[in-house]
Amino acid sequence: MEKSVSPQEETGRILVEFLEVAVSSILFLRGVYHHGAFQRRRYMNIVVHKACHPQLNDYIHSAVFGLLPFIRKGLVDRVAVVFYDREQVPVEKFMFRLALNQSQSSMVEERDLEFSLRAFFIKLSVSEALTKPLPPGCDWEITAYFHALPDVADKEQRRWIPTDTKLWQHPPLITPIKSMGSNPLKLQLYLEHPDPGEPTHLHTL
Amino acid sequence: MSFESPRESSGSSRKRGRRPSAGPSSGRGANSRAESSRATGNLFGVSGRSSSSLSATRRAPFADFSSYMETKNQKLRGQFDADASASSYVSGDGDSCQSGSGGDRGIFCGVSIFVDGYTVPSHQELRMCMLKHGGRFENYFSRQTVTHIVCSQLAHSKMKNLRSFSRGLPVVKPAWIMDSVAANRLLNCAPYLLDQFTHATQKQQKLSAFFTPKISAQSGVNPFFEQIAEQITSIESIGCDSDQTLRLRKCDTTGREDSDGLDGQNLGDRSEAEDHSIGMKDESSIIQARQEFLPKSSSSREQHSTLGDPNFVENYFKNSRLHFIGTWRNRYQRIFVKNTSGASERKYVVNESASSKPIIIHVDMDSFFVSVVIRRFPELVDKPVAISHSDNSKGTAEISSANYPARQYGIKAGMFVREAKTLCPQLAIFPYDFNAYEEVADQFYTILHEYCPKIQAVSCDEAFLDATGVTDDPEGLASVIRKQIIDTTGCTASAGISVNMLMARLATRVAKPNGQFYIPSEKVEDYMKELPVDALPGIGYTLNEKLESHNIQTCSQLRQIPKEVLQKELGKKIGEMLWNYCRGIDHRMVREVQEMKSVGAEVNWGIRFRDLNDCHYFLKSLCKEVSLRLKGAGVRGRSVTIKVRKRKKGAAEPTKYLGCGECESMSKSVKIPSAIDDEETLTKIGKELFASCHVEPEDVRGIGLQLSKLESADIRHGNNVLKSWIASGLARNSEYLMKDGLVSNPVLHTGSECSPGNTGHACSLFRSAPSSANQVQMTSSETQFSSLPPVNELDIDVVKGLPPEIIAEMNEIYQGKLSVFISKHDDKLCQGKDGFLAMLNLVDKGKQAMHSDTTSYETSSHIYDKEDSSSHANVEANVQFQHSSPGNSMTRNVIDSSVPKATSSLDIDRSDLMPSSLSQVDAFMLHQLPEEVKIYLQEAIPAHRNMEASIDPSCSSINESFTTIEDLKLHLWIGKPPKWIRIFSNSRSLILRSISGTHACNGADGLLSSTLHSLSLSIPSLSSGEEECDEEILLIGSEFLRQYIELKVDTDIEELYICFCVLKRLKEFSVFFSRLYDNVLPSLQDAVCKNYGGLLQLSFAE
Repeated sequence: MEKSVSPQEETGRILVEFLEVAVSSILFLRGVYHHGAFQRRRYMNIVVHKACHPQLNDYIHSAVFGLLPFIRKGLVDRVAVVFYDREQVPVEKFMFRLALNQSQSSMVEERDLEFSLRAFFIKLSVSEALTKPLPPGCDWEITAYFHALPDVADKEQRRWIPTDTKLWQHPPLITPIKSMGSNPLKLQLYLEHPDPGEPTHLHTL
Repeated sequence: MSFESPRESSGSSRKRGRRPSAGPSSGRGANSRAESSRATGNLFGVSGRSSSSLSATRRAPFADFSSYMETKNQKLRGQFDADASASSYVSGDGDSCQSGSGGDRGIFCGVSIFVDGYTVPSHQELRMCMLKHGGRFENYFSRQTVTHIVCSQLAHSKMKNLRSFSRGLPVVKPAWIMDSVAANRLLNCAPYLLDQFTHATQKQQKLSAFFTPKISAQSGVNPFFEQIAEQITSIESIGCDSDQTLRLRKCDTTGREDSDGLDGQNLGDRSEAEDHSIGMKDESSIIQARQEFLPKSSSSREQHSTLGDPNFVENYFKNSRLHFIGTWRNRYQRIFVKNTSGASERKYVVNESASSKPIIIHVDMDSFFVSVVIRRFPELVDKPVAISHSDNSKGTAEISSANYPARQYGIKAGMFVREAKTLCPQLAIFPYDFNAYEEVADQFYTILHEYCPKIQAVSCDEAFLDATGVTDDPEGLASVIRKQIIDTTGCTASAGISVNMLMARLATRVAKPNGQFYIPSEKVEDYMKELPVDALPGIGYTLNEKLESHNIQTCSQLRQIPKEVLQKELGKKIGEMLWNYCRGIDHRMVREVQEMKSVGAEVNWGIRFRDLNDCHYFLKSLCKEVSLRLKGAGVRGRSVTIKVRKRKKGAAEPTKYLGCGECESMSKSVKIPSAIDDEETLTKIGKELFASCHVEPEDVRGIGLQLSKLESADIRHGNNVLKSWIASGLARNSEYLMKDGLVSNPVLHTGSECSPGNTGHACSLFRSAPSSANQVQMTSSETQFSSLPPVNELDIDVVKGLPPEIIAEMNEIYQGKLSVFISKHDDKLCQGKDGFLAMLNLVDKGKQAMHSDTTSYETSSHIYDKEDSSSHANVEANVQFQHSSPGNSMTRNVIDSSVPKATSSLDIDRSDLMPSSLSQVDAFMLHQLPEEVKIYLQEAIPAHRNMEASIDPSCSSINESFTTIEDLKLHLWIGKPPKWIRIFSNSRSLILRSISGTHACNGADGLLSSTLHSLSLSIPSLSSGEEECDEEILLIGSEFLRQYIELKVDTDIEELYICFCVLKRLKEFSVFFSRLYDNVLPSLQDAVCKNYGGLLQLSFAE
């Protein structure tokens, strides 16, 4: 472990870890699965919920950690947890907008970062009121928005595939949940909902 | 089965108790429960004897256990009596003890002991003692028959709950019995009390134990005797001759038995001791011994006083030298200052021919506190003597004063007695004699007043005389005064004579002791040259350190430093003082009456609290003391300061007995709207202040309470005005609550209630200018004081420090007034200057008019009617300033236009209207002004010449900002604090000023959302005036927000989201915000869309 780790790597690691837990928490919050499918865990000294099902855990873990090399390179703009209705039309997106300071030279104090990240969980746990009830039979997935498409060389990195999610016709409505703007890492979490005038809305009926 | 049975019997003892018991074993089990478990030990202890009684039980079953026990105890007593009669006849010393107590009964007659647990003389031995000396020995505890519980040690649980264990009976050590037998009389059991011992070993004595009478079943029991006993032994260890100690012991004993007669007896004893002391060689030790006894006996008397609960604070100040000096001044002013005209025949003649050369004489008694006391002991005059509270040579009492022989040994004030005693073993120590001090001080001043008309009392033993024009021979005058002082008081005094107070004081230094010294004006230079810097008054340790670090030791060295440098290094005042002093310049005048600045009391000794109740009790008595002092001085205070000394973390018990040790001190103060001097209010405030210090009661080592901002209690109607200020606050709040009414009807007439004697003061101010919408309105509206303290009396700092939930809750209780109050406070802070400037302007005009004519007149004049052509809106302030007092009523209508848009010509006018210095301001008028205005006045007036300069730039900068609004772009949020704060706070718009003010108050995070949030609490008050919504301000506001959006959109839409949510809420209250919101919203959505591809959902809440 004495091998020197660059600050970007360290911040990336913390961020990815955070994302993994945050995705679990969002799933718990939105009630996609029964609450009994989650167990209470402690992370950053607060209570979070982690899925019990190993496959689900594995999906979240591999998806998020698969992003790590891209995040380190600063390619990732946003990471989203998207909820779809039956027609695979997104009804709600939890967006993580992240910006890693690439020129960060000094080592990040994990504790400082933790302090800020913890606020996300706290805010997340009380933001159910901001959301709308999900339609029955909904689905979800993790999507990442890249600044540019990466040239996929590594096998590991190939687990992320380009996608063409259906987009809303109107600009979505944004509800910010939490923002942090520290030096090594800028992170914002906000909700996107379809515009009320969105025609796809009718399909869900 | 056998294992089972005792459990069963104890488990169902209640049921079984009713039935006759069959066997002894079950009987014992149930019995011990009924008789409470503490008797069990004894059952075995006396088993030898009780076996017979047990066999009796076997023979004749009893109806129940109580009858069984009764029989058993009876039998035991019978056996005890039989044994006792046998042993007292047999024992050799039986007769002696009978004769000793004056009857044929033993010394323990009436004493019945119960022995608990293991004791060092065993049960049997103790029993034998009781047998021999007429006492009783109980095998079973019973509240009715037992008088003393004897034990060597107690289990911790019993210790904790001593009262329930002992049922109020004294718990004593077996040594009491043994010592009583040895002394052949019944000793007081107080020193042998078990709890006393544990207290003593645990910690230092508690305050309560020290000063409140011990609630004890025994009369005359208190810790004081323990101390006496202790001190006697310490005297013995010093090596006094045994005769003296014996005598002391005797009076000690008598004192114990008859404490009421102690005073008289004590006096007799004293004279006896005095007689002896003359003939004896070891005088000082006699005095010592007496001193040992004197102060203590008086304190014991206080303990037994029937004046209700003897309270610590009173006793403390009764014995405090500083208190004496402090209160002496009041006394002096009462006696001398008021009576100077009617004083006795004067021996000075105002000598017309005497030159007007200034002559100041400084007279100072030589070691006043000592010499007054030793007047009565001429043999001690050239022996070292010091004054202290206590003369325990191991003690940590401080020497408060020492005479010159003692000083030669290096004894100084503030030294512990034990240190002093090591330096000078023969040092005689006396306690204070406050009555004598008072007497001598009175004599001293009577003499001074005979010779000189102008006297400034520095202390009870020190004064400055202004003999200018009184005599041409100051030295002669001084020697006459000194001689008379010696003749009258028997104490010596020294005098310094020179041209000013500084030099006179320095001269006294040379003159001391018992001499005089004259420094004529031509010799001042020479004298000052050689003087070390630290000899100058006002130079303390720190200042001296600083100077020394610059290699300055003498005044001549100090003189080489220019004034500016001194002022820069040491502060303006001190620098100037030093510069003057080292040149022998002192501009102070001899003033007969010195204004009191504060009144207070502080106790830093003996403070030990167990809990908050102790604390509150103490605070109450402290407040009582302060209240008494205030009343004594005839003043009331408007600012209450509490000073708490808190034990430093980890600090051990201090070496000084009951001292404060290492402490952190903290102080909190609160300003109250009306001056107070009554105990109740003071106590209430004191408790609140104390609570706000958040100190554990156990850690408190000292508390002081002080009132400042004093005003005379005589001016009744001044007080009335202040009450109306309180009322005005409430009225203001209600005003804002019904803001709509105010907007629709801007003319509001208010007037203050006049006091019965038409000495009232009515002031009515109203204006429509929004810039002064937050100004105070005087009103007569009835103040409804509910059980809640009025909002205005809440300490804003305390309130603001509360968690938001609590503030919200309180706000509910106050029906929303609290948030208004808080926000108003915030507003005041930020816009005080501008707003009050306008106010001040008007007030000043009124004042000027007041000054210009003292007779009754009524005038109305228009000072300004000015239209600023460049302004878009003509702000008009119509102010009516009315002041009515008996025989003098004045109404002045001032129509002042465009105050905020002050042009430079108006500025000049304004500053011209300002009095050139504070001295020109009517002090009475100043008093009636609200605090903020007053502070502002005090700041503004001395600097008024600079005012134009200070105002002009800001005005011009506003104008500039109006004209070149384009320049504002991209600059507003730059800098720390951001640029807009300055622009906003100089703006003419109340709302912009509030924004900047609130932002400044919110401090560190610098987020606009929190600023707006605080602002939203106060917005009802902001919108009360006529809504200003001119385009220019709107433009600035929009630009300001846009730039904020630009700044934040990339990193923090959460912040923007909150900002706009709050703004949306503000829309409802204010046209300005409504338009602002509508103006800026598109920019926000644009920006968000550009960055996030979506729109902020601001309508979510609906």
